[in-house]
Amino acid sequence: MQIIADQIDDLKTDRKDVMPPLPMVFRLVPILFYGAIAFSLVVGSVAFWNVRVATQQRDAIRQKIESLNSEIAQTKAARATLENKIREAADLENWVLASMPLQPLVVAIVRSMAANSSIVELNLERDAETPSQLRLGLRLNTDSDKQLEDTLEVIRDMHYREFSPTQTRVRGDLDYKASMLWQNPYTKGQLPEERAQQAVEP
Amino acid sequence: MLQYVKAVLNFSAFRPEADDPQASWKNRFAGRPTTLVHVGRNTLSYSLIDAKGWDKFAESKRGELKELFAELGPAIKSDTADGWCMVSLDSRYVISVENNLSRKKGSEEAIRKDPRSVLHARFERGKRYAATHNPETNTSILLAMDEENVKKTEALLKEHKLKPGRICCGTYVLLRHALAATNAKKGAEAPFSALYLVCCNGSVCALLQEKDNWMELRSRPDLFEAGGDITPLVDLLRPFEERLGPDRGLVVACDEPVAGLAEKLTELFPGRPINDLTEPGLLAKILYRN
Repeated sequence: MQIIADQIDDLKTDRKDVMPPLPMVFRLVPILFYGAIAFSLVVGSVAFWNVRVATQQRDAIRQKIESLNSEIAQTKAARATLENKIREAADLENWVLASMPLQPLVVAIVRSMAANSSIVELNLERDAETPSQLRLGLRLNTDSDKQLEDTLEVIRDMHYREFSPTQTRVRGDLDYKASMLWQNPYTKGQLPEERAQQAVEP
Repeated sequence: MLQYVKAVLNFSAFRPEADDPQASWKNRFAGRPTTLVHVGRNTLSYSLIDAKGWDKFAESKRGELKELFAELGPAIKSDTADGWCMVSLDSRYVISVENNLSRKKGSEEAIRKDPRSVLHARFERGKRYAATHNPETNTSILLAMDEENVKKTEALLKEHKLKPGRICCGTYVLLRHALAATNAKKGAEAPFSALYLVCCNGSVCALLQEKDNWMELRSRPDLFEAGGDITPLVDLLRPFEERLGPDRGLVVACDEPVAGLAEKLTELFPGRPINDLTEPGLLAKILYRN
């Protein structure tokens, strides 16, 4: 005989809304729910972390761009300064190069000064509109006009011919102004206009 | 709706409810302390069952039940998980051997919900029943518990904020346990004979089994006082002295060891082997396990 007593006879008043436990397989529902929450938290944390890192990188890049921009501005300013200096140097060079043919003229004028005469002011200007001409401005501290004659003689020896001369005496100084034209000794004393005319006429 | 969602999310929907009679106590209260309350006619005692199912006797008192509940109720509640307890009713019940009870499929479940359909003429209004059928004969052991006693106990428990997860008759549970422990082989090849003696909190039940036949049953609630004089118990067993066949043993199952019982049984049934299934907290262990 076999008596099985694996269940207790319960005598209490039954509650009518007692529900049996859900099948174990349905545990997947809360497990998946909590898994989804955990996954979302992990992914959210990773995304948040990435956003934070990306923001930091963006800020760093912005700062770098700003510093580079300021560096570019500084470089540009330095370059502009350098270009100005180069321009000035080039101008100086040009002036030096341009004035080089006039140096013998200046030296000749200076050497033409007698013992009792001195140059107060000497200007040699080349007009951009008429570059073949030189404007001479000479102020001499001298007693007689002989010094001026000597100086003009020296100038003529340097193959310059003056025209439209003006001569005035201001407070004892002799102020002489004239336009000068260089004559090529190899063209037999012809003016450029004459050479141009010869070139036109056969 | 929200409570169902909450129950699913905290996994409580996958555990049996605290008062689900289909589930074992262990599954219902896994890891939570509960109590076993013995309710006698004039006695109230309780044992603590810890989270691992170990039983520890706490207190026992005699007196008016209402006053006893008022006195011990708060202590019981404080020692349990949300006031859940199991109750052994040890009074106002009758255990008897009946013949020719209906054994249709599901009759043991039906006897609880619709006892009239199983008991027919034996049905009495105002009783709650449980039955154990003898698979080899047409006899059955029938427990009839006074329904008013159950309801009164439930009301007293509710009054003191205690929740009965299970109400049973300890004597009947121990008798089934003793029968199951000694009648474990299927079939009629090895018929078993013995005198079963069950004691639960002063209630006694004795069943004579002769070659698998349940011959006679004597049951008395509140027969003796636990820890007191056991002469009434011996008197109840005395008629079996002559009826117990030669070489037939005794099977004893008590919820707690009864002082002096072994000596009295040896004196009453000299030379008979005694299979003592008793151990401290036996009823609590059975109720926790099942």
